[in-house]
Amino acid sequence: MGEVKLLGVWKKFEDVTAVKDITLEVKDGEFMILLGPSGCGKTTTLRMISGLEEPTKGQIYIGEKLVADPEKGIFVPPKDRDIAMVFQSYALYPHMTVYDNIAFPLKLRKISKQEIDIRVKEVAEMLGLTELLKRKPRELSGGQRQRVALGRAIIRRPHVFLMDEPLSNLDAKLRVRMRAELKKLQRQLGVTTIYVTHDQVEAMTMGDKIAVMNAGVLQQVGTPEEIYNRPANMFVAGFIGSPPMNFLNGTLTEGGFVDFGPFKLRLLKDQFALLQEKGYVGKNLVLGIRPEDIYDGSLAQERASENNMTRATVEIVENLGGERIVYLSAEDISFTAKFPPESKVKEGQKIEIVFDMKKIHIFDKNTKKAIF
Amino acid sequence: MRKSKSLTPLFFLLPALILMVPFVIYPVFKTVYLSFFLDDKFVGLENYKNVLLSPDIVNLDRFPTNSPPWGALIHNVVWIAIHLPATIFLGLGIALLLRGKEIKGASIIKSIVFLGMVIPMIVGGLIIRFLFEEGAGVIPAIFKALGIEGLAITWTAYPKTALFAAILGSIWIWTGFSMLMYSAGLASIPKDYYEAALIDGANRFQIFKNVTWPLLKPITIVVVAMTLLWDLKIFDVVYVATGGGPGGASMVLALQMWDYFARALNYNYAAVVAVLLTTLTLIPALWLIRRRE
Repeated sequence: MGEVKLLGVWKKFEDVTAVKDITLEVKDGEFMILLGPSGCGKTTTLRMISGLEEPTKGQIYIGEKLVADPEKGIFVPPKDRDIAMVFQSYALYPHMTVYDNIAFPLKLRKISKQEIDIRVKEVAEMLGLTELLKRKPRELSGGQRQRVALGRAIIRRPHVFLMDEPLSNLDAKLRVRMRAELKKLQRQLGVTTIYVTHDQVEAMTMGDKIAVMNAGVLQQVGTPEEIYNRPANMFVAGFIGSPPMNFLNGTLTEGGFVDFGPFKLRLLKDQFALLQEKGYVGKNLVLGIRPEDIYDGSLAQERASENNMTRATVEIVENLGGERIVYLSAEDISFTAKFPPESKVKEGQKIEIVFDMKKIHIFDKNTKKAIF
Repeated sequence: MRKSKSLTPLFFLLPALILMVPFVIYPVFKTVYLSFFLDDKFVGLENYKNVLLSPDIVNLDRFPTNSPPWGALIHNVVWIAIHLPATIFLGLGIALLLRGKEIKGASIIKSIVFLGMVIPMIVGGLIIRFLFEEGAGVIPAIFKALGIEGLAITWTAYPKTALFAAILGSIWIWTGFSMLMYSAGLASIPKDYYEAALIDGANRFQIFKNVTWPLLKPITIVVVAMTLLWDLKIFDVVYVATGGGPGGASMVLALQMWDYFARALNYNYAAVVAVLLTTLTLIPALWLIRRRE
C-alpha cells in the first residue's frame, strides 16, 4: 500500500545532472534513510517523490500508482500523491496558530469542522501539543515547532512521510531526543517514511534501511549493519563511521602479504585465496580498516603476531573520556585508531599496534569497489 | 549618575530641537492660532463652520447625483475610494505576475511601472494632461476608436471628467510604489511555505488566500497608509493637470488651501483647511506607526 519505487530515475537541471539513474524500492512501513554529503542529490530525489520536482527520465511509483513518467507524460501533482512532507525549516505558517497549522491540510480537503477538531486534538495529544494549540509558531521552541510540523504531516494519515533533514535545526541534545521520538512515532504509525539526512548517526540509529548517495549516484542500499560492516565501495566505507575508516595503499605479494612499504600485513588464508582467484597478486590494492579494529599492542598481546602488527609513532591523542582517538604514523603512512581509556599511550611515543585482520576490507584501487 | 544618563540623549538632540522650534513647531501653532481668528478678531469655531459648510469643501447639493464639483473633501474621498483599491490590486497583480526569474523582461516592465515614481510630480501632471487631451492623448483616441464619442474629449476641460482624469493618471504615478513594496514582500516569503501548502493540497487560489495574502499583511498596511497619506496630500498633480478646475470640479483639499491662501488671500480659511488636512493625515500616519510597533 505504502511502497515507493523509483525505476531508473534521472534529474537534470539544465547542464547539471543532480540524480543519475536511481533505482530504489522502499517497502510498506519501512523507514528508509537517504544519506549523503550535501549536493549528492538526496533532497532532489525526495522532491521528485513528493512531486515538487519532475524527473527528467524514469518512473516513480507510490503504492500501485505510477505518479511520474516523463516518457508517458504522466505527472501526478503533490496533492494527489497521498504523501506528507516535513521540511527542514518546518514551514509552519507564521500567521496561523498551532491548531490552524495542524488543521490546514484537512481544511483544504473540506472536511467537517467537528471531524477536524477531533483529529487535531488526537494528534496534539499524541505529540504533547495540547497545551500549545492556541499559540503562534514564533512563541514555540525549536522542538515544539518540530512537533507541530510532524503533526501537520500526521493528521492527513498519508501513505508516505517524506522528511527533509527535519532535525538539523535543533540543538544537539534535543536532536538526540527527537531522533528517538521520531523513530518511536514511525513504528507506532507504521507509515512508510523516507528521510533525508547528511548525518550518519541519524541514519544509523533511525533507519531500517539506508540508501547512501554520492554525486547523484546511489552507492549502496542496506540495513545499517550491512552498510557499516560490508560497505560496497570506498565512498560508503569512508562516509559511515567516525572517525572514518583508514585506507592504506599496498601491493599484494605472492606470500599473501599486503606490502605498504614501511610494514606488511599478512592476509588470512581465505582472504588471500579470494584475491588470488581474482588475479590481484602483484597488484596494487587498498586495505580498509576501521579505527576501532586497530588495537594498542600493550593491551592486545594475545592477538598479536608478527603477521598483524607494526610499530608506529603517536602523533596526537584526543581523549573523549570513554575512548581515545589516536593519530598514528608509520613513516609516510598515517592512520587513526580508537583505543579504550585504559590505553596509556602518549604523544611522541613509539608503540606497537595490532590490526584485527578479520575486520579488514579490501578495495580495488581503480574501481574503488569492495572485493570483501 | 542616573540623572545624567537620562539627560545625555536629550543633549545630543538639542541642536535639532533648537532648529525645530522656529521652523516646525512655531508655524504649526501659528497656523492653528490663525484658524480661530478672522480679521485679527477671535471668532472661535466660526471659521471651521463656514469652511465646512462651504460648497468649496462639501457640496451635498451636487453629490452624488450631479457631475462635479462636489467639494474638495468629497473629491479627496472619491480619490481614495478609486485610487487605494486600484493601487493595491495593480501593484500586487504586477508583482505577482513578474515574480521569479522565469519571466523575460520582468525588470524592464517593472522599471517602466516604477518610472511614475521617479519622475517629478509636476511632469507627471503634465503627462496626464497630454494623455487625456483630445487629438493628442491616447485615452480620448482609444474611446474614439471604440466609438464612445462622449469620452473622446479633452477630459481635463470638462467638469464631469476632469477629476477622473487626475485620479486615473495618479494611479499610474503611484502604482510603482505598491508594486515595489509587494515585489520585496513576495521575495521575502520563503519558498517552503508554498511547497508545504502545495503538498498539503492547496490550489493556486488557496495558496494565495491562505499563505501569500496573510504573509503580505505588513506590506499591505504600509501600502494602505502611505497611499492614504499621498491621496490626502495630493496637490502638484492636480495643480498642473487641471488647476482644480474647471469651476472647482477637480479641486482637492491641499489645492483648496492654496486657493484660499494665494488667490482669495484668506489666510484664516487657509489655516482652517490646513488644520483639517493635517488632522486627516494624522489618522493613517498614527495608525501606521502603531501597527509597525
